[in-house]
Amino acid sequence: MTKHKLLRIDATVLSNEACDQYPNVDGPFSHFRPASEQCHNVARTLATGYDLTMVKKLPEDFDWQAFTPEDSPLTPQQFMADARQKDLSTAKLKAGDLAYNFSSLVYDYSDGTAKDTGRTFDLLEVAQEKPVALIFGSYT
Amino acid sequence: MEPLHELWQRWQQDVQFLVVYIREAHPEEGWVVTMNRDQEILVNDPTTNDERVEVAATCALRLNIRMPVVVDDLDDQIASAYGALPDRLYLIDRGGKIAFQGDEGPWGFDPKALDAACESLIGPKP
Repeated sequence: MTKHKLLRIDATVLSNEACDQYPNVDGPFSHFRPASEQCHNVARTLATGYDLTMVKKLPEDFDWQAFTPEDSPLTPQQFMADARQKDLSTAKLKAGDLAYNFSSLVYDYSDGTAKDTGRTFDLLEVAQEKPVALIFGSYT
Repeated sequence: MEPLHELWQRWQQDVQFLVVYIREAHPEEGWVVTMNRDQEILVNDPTTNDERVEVAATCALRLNIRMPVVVDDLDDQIASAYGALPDRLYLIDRGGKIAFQGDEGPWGFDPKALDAACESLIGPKP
């Protein structure tokens, strides 16, 4: 989407579209789901003329204070500019590529307690048996 | 987590589900977000692998994760390879190739898209 096309988008429409996306947001990050007012703040910022692909760069007038307490050590701008963060959010693989293999200890929390199963999960080994769905996430 | 657990229950006979706990997106040392503070979620960035495993356990227990979990090491090699921060979904086929690559979270984190990818790979599920 180009900047000029985006300029023609009504902020309310974009806000509604943004909020409609949130029912899809689930998993470790689900608590990050913002209120509709915050959706609207993002949409309004975007509708002022920024390419949607620039969201990661956070334009100067992005209403980041709505998401960030005063005592946060980093601002979103500093966060987004960090090379490590960029690396960790940039996929080096694409559909059709051989998956990056890893072997890691498996933990089981299914009964409400933490258990080291002693088993190792080797991705490509397991993928020989059946497809593997990977769900990446953290707590915050 | 419930939509993901529903997916897991729907597909677990045919698809191995795995949660990969990765680097915290918003630890207290970084960009803290209001939503976490509102829910009294305060996490310090682990400095050792053991600490990361402990935080992963807290995360898994509080979110009631019932699927198997592995923990990325502090070097973040897995997260880096998959561009997994802050969260993302993948489906790997039986040949070890990437059948589905979800978009970057949180906006691009879409369990329905993973469901559709499973159906495309395995076939319709009643």
